[in-house]
Amino acid sequence: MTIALDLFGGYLDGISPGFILIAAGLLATLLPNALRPVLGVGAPLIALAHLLALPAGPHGTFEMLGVTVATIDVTPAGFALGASFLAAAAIAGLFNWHERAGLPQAAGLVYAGCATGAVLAGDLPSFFLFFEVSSIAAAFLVWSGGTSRSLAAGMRFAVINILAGVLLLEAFLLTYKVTHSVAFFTADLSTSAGIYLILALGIRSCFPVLHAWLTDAYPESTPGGTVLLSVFAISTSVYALMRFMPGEQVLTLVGPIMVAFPVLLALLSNDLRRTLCYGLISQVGLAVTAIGIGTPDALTAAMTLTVANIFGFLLMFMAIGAVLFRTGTASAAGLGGLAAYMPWTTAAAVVGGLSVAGLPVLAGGTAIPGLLSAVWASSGPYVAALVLFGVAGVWAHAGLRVPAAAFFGTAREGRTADEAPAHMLVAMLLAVVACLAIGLMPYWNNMPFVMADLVLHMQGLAFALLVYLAARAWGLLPKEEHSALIDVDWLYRRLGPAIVAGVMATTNSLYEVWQNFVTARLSGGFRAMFSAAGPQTNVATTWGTGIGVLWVAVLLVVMLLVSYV
Amino acid sequence: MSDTPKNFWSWVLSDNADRNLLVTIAVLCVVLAVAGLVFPSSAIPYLADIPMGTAIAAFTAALTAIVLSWPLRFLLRRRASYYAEPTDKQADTQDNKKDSEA
Repeated sequence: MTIALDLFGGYLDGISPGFILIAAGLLATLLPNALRPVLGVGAPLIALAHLLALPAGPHGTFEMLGVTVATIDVTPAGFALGASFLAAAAIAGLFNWHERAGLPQAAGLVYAGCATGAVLAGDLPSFFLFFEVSSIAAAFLVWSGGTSRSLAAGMRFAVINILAGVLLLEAFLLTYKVTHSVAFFTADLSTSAGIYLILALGIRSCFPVLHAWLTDAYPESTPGGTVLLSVFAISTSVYALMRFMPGEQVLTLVGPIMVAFPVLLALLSNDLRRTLCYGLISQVGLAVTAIGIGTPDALTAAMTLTVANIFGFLLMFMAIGAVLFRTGTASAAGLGGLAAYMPWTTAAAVVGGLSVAGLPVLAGGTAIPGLLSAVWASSGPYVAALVLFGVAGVWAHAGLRVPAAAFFGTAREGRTADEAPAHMLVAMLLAVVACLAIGLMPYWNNMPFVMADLVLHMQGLAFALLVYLAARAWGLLPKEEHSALIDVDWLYRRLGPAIVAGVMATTNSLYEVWQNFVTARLSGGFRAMFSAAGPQTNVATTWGTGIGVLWVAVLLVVMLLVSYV
Repeated sequence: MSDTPKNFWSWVLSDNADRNLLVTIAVLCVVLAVAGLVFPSSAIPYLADIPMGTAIAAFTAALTAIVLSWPLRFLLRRRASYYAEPTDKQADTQDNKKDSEA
């Protein structure tokens, strides 16, 4: 995959680009505040230059517990994702230039580095280590939000991702036990290892019912933290599905559901960052469906969509992050009309939404038509209908609702704001350029331009947009109001604690009754003994000396009679 | 409104913005419908056999999403402080304060 000269003279040979970011993250905690942002931008660029000079094939090996571990194996998919990760990390680092605190900078770099290392990993041990450490770093990114809500959300995030990590490790160990190999494998769902693996990757990829950790935790981080969180973890999980489960039929059932259900939740969510998280899950569902189909075209489309979504959602999260930075809120009920004060941020949000929705010449436009064609050609009408529902829904919530709620119309609570700071604007501009570059890439590669396919694609987008705009104009959309949204996390945030509280209250009551019963019985027993043999009774009373002598004399007479008679 | 800065986006901040956007997209839909007849595509199975199949399918999908959101709004939306813990500090973000006051 070497496409550039090695700028480091061979000194970084055998070192995964991910390690460069991890080392930078650890170094960030020791640097002066002013140098941390420089590291946040410079380290990903250095790692990117190193990646471009890496040859294909496994290297970076070392011995661990008698097993040869290869930390690097540059595959085409890994290269594409790794390069995208590093570019996105540099852009996010620029967006986060104002962040001087050590924790978010360090956690962000370690997180990005581990995700990069995971998609470039050469075997199971290195993949597992990178994947798990990225979860730990991501938890710290959530905690860097610094509120009690982010602390609680980070704890739930950590618990669920550690559970997924344990399942992943179990799957790898069971596979090693059978194959005695640490190479990547294709999972078989008829084995225990396959079941553990799909559960682990299902949690990390946000399968239905297993998805709530993402929408719960990501919006609680800092504005820059959420930008970073949105890029890496879920894309790495999609890559893992592609490596371990290409063509797995279950994914063609799970994927369409993943595409469809977040559309409705995204329309109802008040927090715009949470809305984007649901949009992210919906788009990942498209990729999961394509991975389940498993044809070369479908897998290529899934990878292309993942890369496109990295920059599309990066742009949208940056735009909303800038709004949050300036206004202190990402609540749809509290925003509106900001286009007058933040015109460039508005433009970035609109471009990001159009890219995510799949407008031609933008990143999403490269991926979605091909993916839709692959899905429609290989699946039945019901799967195709669900997928189309999701694609149309992406227009509604990510492409239009997010920019419209934040920037268009009238200011619902009279908020005004300054335009985003210069470093955020430059970061958003770079992301726009990336979306355009990816969107135009097929045409640079001399892909034939087919007017009929373009018209077909635009028809789908335009008619979905027509419905949304009509609903908005006639007041038929759900009203923007301060609210919380019930999702699957209700089970462990309300129902679970309520059950535990009820059980504890019941057991405490029963224990109290039992304690009272035992105490009463013991007290009664002691009272009875006291009344029978206490100091006030004849047994314990003090006798007179004469009586004592009399009794001693009686006892002596009895003993004499017994001895000599 | 008179104090609002004027820029490129002023047209989406006016009272008629939604209606103007709707008219623009409706015209675009008509143009694309005609273009679809001039440049028919067979890229997508099932839909290629139906006149304006993609447009109708996308329209139906979006309409279904909007319609379903109404009953789900009553089922799934709760007051903003629904998940608030007793230990949540008042020093949390403005957004959290606003949500808990709502």
